[in-house]
Amino acid sequence: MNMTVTSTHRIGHRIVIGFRYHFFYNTVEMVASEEPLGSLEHVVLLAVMRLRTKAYGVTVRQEIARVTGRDLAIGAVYTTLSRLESKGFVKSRAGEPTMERGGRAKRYFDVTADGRQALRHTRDVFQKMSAGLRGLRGT
Amino acid sequence: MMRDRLVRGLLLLCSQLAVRGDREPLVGDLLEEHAVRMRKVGTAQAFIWILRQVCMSAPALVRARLASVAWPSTLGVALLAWLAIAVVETLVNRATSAWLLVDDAYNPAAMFLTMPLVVAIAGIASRVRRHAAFALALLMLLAVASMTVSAHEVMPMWFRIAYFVVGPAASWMGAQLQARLWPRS
Repeated sequence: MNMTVTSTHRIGHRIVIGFRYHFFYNTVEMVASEEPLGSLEHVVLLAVMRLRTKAYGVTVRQEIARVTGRDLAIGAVYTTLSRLESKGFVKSRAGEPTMERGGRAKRYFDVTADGRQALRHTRDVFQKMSAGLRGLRGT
Repeated sequence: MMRDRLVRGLLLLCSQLAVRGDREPLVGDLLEEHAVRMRKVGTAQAFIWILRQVCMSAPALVRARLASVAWPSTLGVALLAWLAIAVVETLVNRATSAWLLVDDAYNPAAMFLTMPLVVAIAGIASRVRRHAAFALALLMLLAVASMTVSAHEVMPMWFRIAYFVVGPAASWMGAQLQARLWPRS
């Protein structure tokens, strides 16, 4: 009897702990994907998405310069890409080393499903915030 | 020729500032774009471009590097190493006073004998925490600077200069020794 009560108690305890973990990780996941992107993160993530399979340091920097006219430092691009990777918004893979690069391999980046979700979320936030603002109408 | 060396120096600086995983692709990207610019706008303009890139990149790279270090434990290891160095220094000072019959607090022999021990301690500290030797060098510089400012007794100039150089240099050598003897995978 006593054993049954103890084991029932243990099972109940495990369910409670399991529920807490489930709730905690779901909350963390939700916060990670719904956290608004910083302006540089937003621009870099969009550049990676535009470049599809050809996104690496040089092309990301050049794409941002071409589209926005903003001449970013390569260090800023890399630190932003690393931050996005640690948040799970991009994933990287090693590319081919070339003579021009002194035999050093490229590091290509791809946007993940979480990254696309974060971009959608950020776009929605900006659309909602700017909706109906008279000063922003027209060119 | 001189410009090539400067470019190599700038690339080395950039790779040292970057976190380990970013070094190879970052330097490769700089080299690739530099080569393209050399063909398009000439060597001088390409050099100015790479100089500007390294200067503009430095703050972001340093910030990322500092953020990637677990500072409390690194600082703890550096403090322990510093304590070990203080003990070693006292013992060596006493030993040299007894053996060489020198009764001078500013003893070059003691400094000479202490240096390899500082290198060894910094190497061990660097083995425990990768950036501990760097933190140790900073601690030493701060300690010597505060001692120089606050000390009432007159220290010989060679002693002051040597202490500014020897401690941090020994710490750096320790980190290099560690990296060569037990490279991390």
